[in-house]
Amino acid sequence: MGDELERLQELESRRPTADEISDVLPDAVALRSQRDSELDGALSPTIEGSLERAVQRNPQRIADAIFPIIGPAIRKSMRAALSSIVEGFNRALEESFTLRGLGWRIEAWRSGTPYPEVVLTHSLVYRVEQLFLIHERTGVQLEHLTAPAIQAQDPDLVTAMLSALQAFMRDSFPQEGEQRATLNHFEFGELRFEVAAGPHATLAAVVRGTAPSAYRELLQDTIERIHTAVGPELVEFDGDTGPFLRIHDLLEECLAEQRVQHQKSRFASFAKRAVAVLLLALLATWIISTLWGNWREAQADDKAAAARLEHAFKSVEELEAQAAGTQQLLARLAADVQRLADEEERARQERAAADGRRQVLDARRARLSELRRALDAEPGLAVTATELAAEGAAQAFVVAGLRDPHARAPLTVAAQAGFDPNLIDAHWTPWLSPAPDLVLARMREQLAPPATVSLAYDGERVSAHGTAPRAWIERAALVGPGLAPTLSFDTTALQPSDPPVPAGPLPMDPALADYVRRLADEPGLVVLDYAMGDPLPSGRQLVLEGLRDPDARDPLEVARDAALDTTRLHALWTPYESGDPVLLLAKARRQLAPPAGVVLDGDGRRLVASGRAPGDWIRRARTWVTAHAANASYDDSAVVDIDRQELDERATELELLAFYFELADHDVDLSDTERADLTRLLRQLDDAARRSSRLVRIVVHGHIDGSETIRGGVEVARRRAGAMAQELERLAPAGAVFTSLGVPTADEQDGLPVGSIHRKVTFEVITFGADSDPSGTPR
Amino acid sequence: MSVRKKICMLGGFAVGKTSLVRRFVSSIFSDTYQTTVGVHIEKKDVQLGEREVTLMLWDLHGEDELQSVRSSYLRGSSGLLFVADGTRAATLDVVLALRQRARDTIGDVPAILLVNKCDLPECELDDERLQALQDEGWTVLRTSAKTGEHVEQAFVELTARMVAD
Ligand SMILES: Nc1nc2c(ncn2[C@@H]2O[C@H](COP(=O)(O)OP(=O)(O)O)[C@@H](O)[C@H]2O)c(=O)[nH]1
Ligand SMILES: [Mg+2]
Repeated sequence: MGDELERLQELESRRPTADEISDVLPDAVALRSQRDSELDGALSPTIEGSLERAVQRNPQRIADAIFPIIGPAIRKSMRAALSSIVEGFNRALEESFTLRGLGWRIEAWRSGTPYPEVVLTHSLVYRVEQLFLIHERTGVQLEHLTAPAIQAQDPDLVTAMLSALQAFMRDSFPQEGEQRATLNHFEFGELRFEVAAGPHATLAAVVRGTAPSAYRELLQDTIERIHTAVGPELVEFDGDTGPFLRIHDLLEECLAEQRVQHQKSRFASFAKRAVAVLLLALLATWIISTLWGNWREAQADDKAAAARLEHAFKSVEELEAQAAGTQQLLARLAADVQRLADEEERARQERAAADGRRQVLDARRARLSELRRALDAEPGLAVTATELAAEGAAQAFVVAGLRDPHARAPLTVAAQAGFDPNLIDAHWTPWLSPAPDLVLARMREQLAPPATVSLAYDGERVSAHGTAPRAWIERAALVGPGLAPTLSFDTTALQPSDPPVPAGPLPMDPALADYVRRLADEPGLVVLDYAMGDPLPSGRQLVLEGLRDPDARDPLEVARDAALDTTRLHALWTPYESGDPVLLLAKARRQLAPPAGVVLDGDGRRLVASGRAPGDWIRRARTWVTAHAANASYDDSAVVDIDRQELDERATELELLAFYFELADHDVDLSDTERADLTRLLRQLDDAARRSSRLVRIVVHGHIDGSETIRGGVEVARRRAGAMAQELERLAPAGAVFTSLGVPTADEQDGLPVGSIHRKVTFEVITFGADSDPSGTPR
Repeated sequence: MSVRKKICMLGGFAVGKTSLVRRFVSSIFSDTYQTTVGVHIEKKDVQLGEREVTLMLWDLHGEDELQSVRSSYLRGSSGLLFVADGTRAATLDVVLALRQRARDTIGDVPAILLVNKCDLPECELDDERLQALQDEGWTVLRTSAKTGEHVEQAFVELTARMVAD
């Protein structure tokens, strides 16, 4: 017992060994810390002291140790402070040189608001120029949007580089704590990239100007909504961007919502910046050179300081160079703008001149057909061809046709219709018109009926009434029918006024009389006068005077038919154009000279054409028939107009074409072959249209696909059509007879098929007659 | 509908990755040597029958030190083009190591091995060696970025495989 007590006392009095304390110390500290904070207080002087000593002895080691904690914190606050300083400086720099800046100062003074705050509220001018939606894992671009009028450099590559940059930053600066750090924003010149990252996709916006912080929130919100909308598609993405069309309007919000408060032209901001840089450079030069002078005096041999200043000087030089560069850029820009404007103006003038020429030409053509109608309407005149004289010729209109000797003078007719006869260059061929008035006039002149005879026309034939000497009746019966080619001539009602002549000294040779009768019956031969009797000094017995159509039979042949000795004849034939229907076919064949592919057939009442012919010939044939055989029918329904056919074929060729567009885009981007093909096609179309005398209108239809109904929709279709129509006008030959017109074809908002083959323009060709024949179908 | 695929060019130092890409993308061969820094990305549209595929070609930094090929650059690749220099057998070892590394990072994706500089006479990788590789399952093409031999085929072949996948 005593032993035990002794040992107890010994234990109590003994100080614990270091070894023993080290066993319990950690637990003891932990226990005590739980109970109260006495320990902290007790330890801190010691720790402070030792830290102080450690820092004095080896500062680097401590710095290294605490950097990971403190580094990010410092970086963050530095970044924030710096960027706000820089922003403020930029804005102040930009604004302090303007009238607006002055206005803001006044506003600040009046309202008592600090000037910087006023600047800030007025400077939220920004514009989101581009948006990239980037697939996180592959770095592939899912979507790319641009603000109107922004030209984006290859967005695919920008996207890929952004994601490579992101990966590069992550690898190079691994950050503890933040498990997946992202490049939140960075700046490049005037542009600022705002990046909002999600687990599977990243949204990057290119902002010009200063966006409010709310914009960042919008981006973040959008990327979250995108993940909700197409999460599975993002996870399974293997290159097909199709499924992401759905979220296009989500993205559109990020582009569209940003309204610029007061847009200043880029040019103006350029100029302002240039001025600012210049002024700053001058200011800096002045300050530094002053300082430089002082400094040199005071610290002449401080080499380090000199070097530093030299460096500063360099910066100033750079600034100056930059200012000069900017000014050059501005000058070039201005020159470009001027050049573009000049080109535009020149093109406009050329177009106007071409339009003017075409209008003048159209007016002259209209005048010419008026003239033709006036002459044609006159009995005894038939126009066979008209033409506009070459520019600068003395006479404006060239007219060719047939003219009956009894018709009114053509130039009188023209003058009455309001044409200056001096402007008409006319070529007339003699002609016996079948018009009854003229037939009667002709008969009266050629037959010279005595006062006792009257001639009358009753609608189908000319008849003679009254009394006349037998000789006159005999001659009238022989000669008359030839003078009235399309009418019949009746002399049966005539009464002889003299007794029959007994066989006289000059008996009528029956063979010769028979010959004259035969001639009178012969179409295209008109006997105007004849004399018969004893052999004349020439030894001939019959003297004839008459008219002969080039298509009539040869009078000598008729004589041979009558078994008459042609040496007994003396005939004087004057060429003329007969209106006799019997000659119609022969005349048509000779005068119309149908092209190789055409067969002409018919008789005196009917003319039938068939085969393939140029439009020009077809129209010439129609006019010819009207002029030469007003009473005959003409059927050319079996004639194929090869020009029309060509026109139709070319039209079909164009209508089968389609040109395709990038999503929501309307740039017409033709390859060289496409452009060459289109140019050729338009030229052929123009040629065919001219030859067949038709006007052509090309309607360009713009189409969109289903995915585009939410990206501009009909407007995109309209732009496509418009752009293509413009392209057509550019490629068309000068003065082409067609006009092009762009229309959108995208009325249905729903149910449009989706796919690149639907994003296109197509063509519709409408042709219509220029003047005479509006239906375009052959008569 | 457009399809976009990422392809990585992998191979040792100066085997001709950049030259192959240049050849394929713009068909102009540059004899000036240029060390690529980090990664260089090019784009090329390939027409495969009805389909159009846009290839994003990632030309990675190629040094013999494998560490320098960032695994984060490999991620998301739909296909890989391994390049060895036919005149330097050692570059094939780099390829084999790189392939292992790619497998570890992104698993198996369509890949083709290009034995480049086949226009040069001094060939260290003979047909027997290539046959052995083919037996192991490699698709091997002898290419030349200088003459353009098989360059187009290599890219198109790889594209076809990626699309078929
Ligand atoms: N003769 C020849 N030289 C090549 C060929 N491909 C590349 N080179 C050359 O090899 C060098 C390295 O090429 P480069 O493309 O930069 O290699 P990388 O480091 O793999 O990108 C350059 O000097 C090239 O001109 C080839 O097919 N034939
Ligand atoms: Mg390279």
